[in-house]
Formats: sequence, C-alpha cells, structure tokens
Amino acid sequence: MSHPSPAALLEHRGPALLLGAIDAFDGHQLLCTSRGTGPWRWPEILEGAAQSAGLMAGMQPGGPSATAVIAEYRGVIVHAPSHAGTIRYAARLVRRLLHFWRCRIEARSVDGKLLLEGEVTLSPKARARA
Amino acid sequence: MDSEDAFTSFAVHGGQARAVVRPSHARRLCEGHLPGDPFLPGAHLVGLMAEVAARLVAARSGPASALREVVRCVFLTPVRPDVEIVVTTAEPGDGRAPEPSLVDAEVRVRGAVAAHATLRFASPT
Repeated sequence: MSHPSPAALLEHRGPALLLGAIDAFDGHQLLCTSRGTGPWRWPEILEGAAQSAGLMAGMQPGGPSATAVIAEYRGVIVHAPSHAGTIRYAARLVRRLLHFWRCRIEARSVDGKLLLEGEVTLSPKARARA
Repeated sequence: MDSEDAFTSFAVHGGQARAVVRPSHARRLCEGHLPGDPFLPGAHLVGLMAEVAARLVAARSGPASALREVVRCVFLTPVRPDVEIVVTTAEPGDGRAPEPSLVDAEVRVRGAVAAHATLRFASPT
C-alpha cells in the first residue's frame, strides 16, 4: 500500500522538513524514514520524531490536522547525541485527552540502534506552542 | 556544525545561567518552519535550553556533561525569531531531594515564560 508523501501532509518546508517517506501505517503506529542522511544532532532527531507523531495523529479518525504543534515532551531519552545516516522513525498513539494527543516516539538507525525515545503531546495549531 | 555561537551573551552567576539567543541563529532555526508563520521548533528550543544547561553543569562540575534525558518540556507560547529570546537555567528548587544531574531551564520572550523544561545530564564522575 502506498502512502502520501510527508511533504504533502506537513507544512514544513526546506531544511525544516525532516521526513522523506511514510513506510507503514496500521492505524495505531506509523513508521517513516528521514529525508536525507544528515548528519543529525539530537534536536533534529527529536524534531523528526515529533513530525512523525504529527503525521500519525493527523491520520487518526478525528485527529488534529497534520499541522498540529508540540505541547510537551516527556521522558525523552537521548541515547545518541548525533547520528550520520538514514533514520527510521516510529510513532504510536498512547492516549487522547480532549484536544491533546500523546504519542510514543522512537528514532533508530537503519541497523536498529536506538537513537532517541520518549513521548510527545500534540495539540491543534490554534492552541499553538512549538 | 554551527560556525557561530548560538548566543550573543552567556553568564553564570551562582547556580544560574543566562544566555541571549543570537538573532541570526534563531532565524536559521526557523527556516521552513513554517512558511508565512515562522516560529522556532520545540525540539530546537529544548536544544537551546540543553546547551545553556550543559554550560552551567560544566561550570559547576567540569566538562563532558552530556544530556541524558529531557525529563519534561512544556511549550506555552510560540517563540518568534524577531524578538529577544532569553534562556535561563538553574538547579531545581522545588524541594525534591538534591540530584546534581538535574537542571531546570526556561525560555523567555518579552519577560514571559514561553517554554520550561527539566533536563537530566550525565552524573558527574
């Protein structure tokens, strides 16, 4: 099954668009791949993971648009301060509370090494944060 | 890697650090985020807080302070690149048992808190 391009769903452009492709979506978890091979510092890896969560939440029934913004990060473990190479992102819905969507996020290298993991809470853009 | 310092000023006093983000750096972080309505991505705000916090930890405990965890970071208002962005960090003062690896951080614009975080660094050896 083919999936739309992240560029078609996200407002991010140029260097801010960190996702190149959606690889899989089963309704609960979204897997996607970085746009390019970096090198990436951990804030960029975190931003890519947040973008994957934004896509995942936006593809839920009744979810916020894919332009949702970040309300909170929680328990984000930085396993690697930087990485050179393609990154695989995974985002899974943990819970929904009112307008907020909390997702579990992971970023891994292509050989499966865990780079970063944690939780991100998204909110609609009208309640915009970051 | 950035060729210029992300901050125009940085100072440590007591257990606190204060830094002002260089405007050109803030504009660069906003490139493509988002066209027509630029504001700093949350992950980069966390990165700025972590950078100032790392310098504070280094001033307190010596070099080689690596960020281990963003324990929590909350975003209250969008941070635009065309205003002065001030990052402050301090050791937690909320009554928890002392944990030298924790640092509290804030981003302020126009005197108001736009984001705040608690960060965990590698414990001093």
